[in-house]
Amino acid sequence: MFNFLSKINPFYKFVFIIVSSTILTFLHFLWLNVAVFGICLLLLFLGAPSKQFLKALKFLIPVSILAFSLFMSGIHFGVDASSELGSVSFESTQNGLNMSTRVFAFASLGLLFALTTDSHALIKSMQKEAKLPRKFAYGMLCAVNLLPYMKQEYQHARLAFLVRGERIHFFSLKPIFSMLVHCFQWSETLSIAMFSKGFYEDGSI
Amino acid sequence: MKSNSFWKLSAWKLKDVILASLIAVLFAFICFAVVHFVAFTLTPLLAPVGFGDLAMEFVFGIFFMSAVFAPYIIRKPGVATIVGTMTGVVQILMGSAFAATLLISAFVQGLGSEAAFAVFRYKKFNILTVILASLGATITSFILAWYRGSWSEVIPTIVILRFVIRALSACLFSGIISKLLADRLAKAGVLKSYPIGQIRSGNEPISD
Repeated sequence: MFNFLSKINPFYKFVFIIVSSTILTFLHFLWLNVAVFGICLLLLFLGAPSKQFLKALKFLIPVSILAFSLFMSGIHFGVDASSELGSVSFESTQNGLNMSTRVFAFASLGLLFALTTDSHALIKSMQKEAKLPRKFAYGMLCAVNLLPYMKQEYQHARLAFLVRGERIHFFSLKPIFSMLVHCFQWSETLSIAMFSKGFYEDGSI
Repeated sequence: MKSNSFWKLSAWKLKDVILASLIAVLFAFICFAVVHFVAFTLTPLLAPVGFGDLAMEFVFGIFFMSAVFAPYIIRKPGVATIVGTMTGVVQILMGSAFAATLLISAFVQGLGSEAAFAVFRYKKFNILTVILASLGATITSFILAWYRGSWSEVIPTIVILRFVIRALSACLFSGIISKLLADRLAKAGVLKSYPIGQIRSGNEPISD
């Protein structure tokens, strides 16, 4: 399909998503929620590669679970629900539907942004359009690019503990801690490295 | 004495920005994992009885961790808000399905945590400040969630229960655990060039 969504300036798209989700926070209409969800999915279907659309459907699975649980809690604990617990009235179903469709509306708005925006492009456009200070833009780029190294560091730390014969399971804190130690050392080293390459905190190079 | 520039954004050094971004990325990763883990395990289990969305409240403190952990280390005005917001931005970029809600709640949580540090004028950093910051984040995030989730349609008992669980979780995760973690990291000596490390080693913090 067409790919017009990823061509929009990331910063403007960002502002649009924030504003619309803020407005949605204070409006409580069932049909509005459904309409927002429908429009966002349609836009994703038309304006993004089909691979991204399928990804969106995959991301909606946990959202559906959450929406279902909200629906059930709306039914059981709605204000208008009749005093007897477990009896389902029209109002309580309405409550449940309202609460669960809101989750879908918010999720689709977010996915519309997330699946069509590249992180580097967003930071660059923030620096240009929103006048984000240089050190913030480059500092964030730095951290985003470090993510794969953090993962590598975690695996190294894990391996080191295993070699020493310690039991390491998925939730062990030891490898996480030693990864943190290394990551935090990088932050200073990196800033020194950036200065030595001619980076100035203020002003142009 | 804190100089005038202490309160300005220009007081941030590049290394502070990089550390703040690193913390944001790390905790965004953790939050992302936790949200999906809970959404696939605990929520469906509790959903049929109507308690499904309560499951998320038990781990809610994890979402506040970056907004308490970062200011405890960097100790500058604005750290809590900025790192909190950054955590939201990074999660959006990771493709979290809860993205549009995340950014505003991340910002609001940051503000709540910031308020507690600001009350002490960024001079006191002990267990009390940290717990107050966690509670601040709890309160602001709860007010937002009230409007967002249309909780006026839910009976008050459930809403109060949610608040209590969220507050306890915040005290445990973002209050106690993030303080312990930061203290241990400072003890390991990696934070020597940051305020927390300088105070620990007995030197006066270098004022810019």
